[in-house]
Amino acid sequence: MVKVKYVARPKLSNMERIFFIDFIHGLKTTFKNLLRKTITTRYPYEKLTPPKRFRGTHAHRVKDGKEPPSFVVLEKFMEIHEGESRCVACYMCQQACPIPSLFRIEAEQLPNGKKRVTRFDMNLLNCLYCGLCVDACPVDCIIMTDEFENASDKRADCVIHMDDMCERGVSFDRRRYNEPDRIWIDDKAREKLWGQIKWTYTQ
Amino acid sequence: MAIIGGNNGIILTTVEEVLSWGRRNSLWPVSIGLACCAIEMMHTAASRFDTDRMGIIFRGSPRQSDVLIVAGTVVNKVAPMLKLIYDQMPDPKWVISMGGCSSGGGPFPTYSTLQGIDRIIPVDVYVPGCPPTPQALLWGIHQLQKKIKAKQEGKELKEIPVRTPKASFPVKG
Repeated sequence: MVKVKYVARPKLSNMERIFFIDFIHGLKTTFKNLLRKTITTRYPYEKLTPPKRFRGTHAHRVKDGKEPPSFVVLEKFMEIHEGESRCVACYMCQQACPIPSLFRIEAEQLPNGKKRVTRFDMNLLNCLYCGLCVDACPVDCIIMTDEFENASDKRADCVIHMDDMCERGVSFDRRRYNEPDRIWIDDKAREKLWGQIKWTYTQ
Repeated sequence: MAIIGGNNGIILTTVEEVLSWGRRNSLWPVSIGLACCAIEMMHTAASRFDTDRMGIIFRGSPRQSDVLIVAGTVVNKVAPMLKLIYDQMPDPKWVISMGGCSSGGGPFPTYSTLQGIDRIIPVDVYVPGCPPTPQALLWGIHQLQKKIKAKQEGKELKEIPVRTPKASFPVKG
């Protein structure tokens, strides 16, 4: 049997009954927020900058002289010119992916014995945006950018190809390569939104 | 018969223009949330990315709404209900497929999940993402508004110019 607890109604004093003290007490929060500056961002005209490590649409880094040492080892087996995608078609991203069927990677062997990547498609409609492919890439080729505006009325437009991934990677590196890898660009922007963080230990 | 003859009539074109303007600026979606995409959909309607300023008000009944935002995984058990909700909506109606799960099955290529809602209902805009950010969903809604405008003018979607500024990501410091 469920026990029911009866609570006596608090008795109001005459002062509270006449001047609506409780009512004004509740409206205090309303008035405090009424005078505050609004936090609404007018989206198409005013866009929030995502942090650098935001996991958005995928991109390819190109061969531009900033490659890791592992690419130098693999480079002699590959037919990659300056300004082309660094991809060596090792299928590591496909191996790491939870849904491997979203990748479509093809490579061919040229008559001089070198390998050339002919196709690198990703179906973003199946993508989890987990970033495992970025971690798996041995030559630091596939990255995730801060772009997210790829809604479309066709399914085919949601599939990204190697050439537009290269363009996206070049534009991302031009904008944000030298930026420190942290969630907020500066402490002022973070404190404006979230307030000052009080650390329990000294760093 | 010039008045009835579609785009050639004088009176009906003006009426259609006004109707299209009204429709694309008051898209009322049905508030159905099926999975984690619904959290981002709620965030889009909340105060930071306020959808009310664009005339998008979430309604509780499919009879009052124009847009169906399918947010989340559609399993085979829910698919008949989704179809029912779509059938209950009055014409004209549009569908936004939000996220990977409703667009193409997403990370669930299994027997129990519907591999894309376009197997049962027509879809107007696909929004990729898992889940899409509120800004990505707003971009999808903009695509839908452009599509309604393009259909009224008898054009392709790509011929309608985008009226957004080009420098989208100002980088500080």
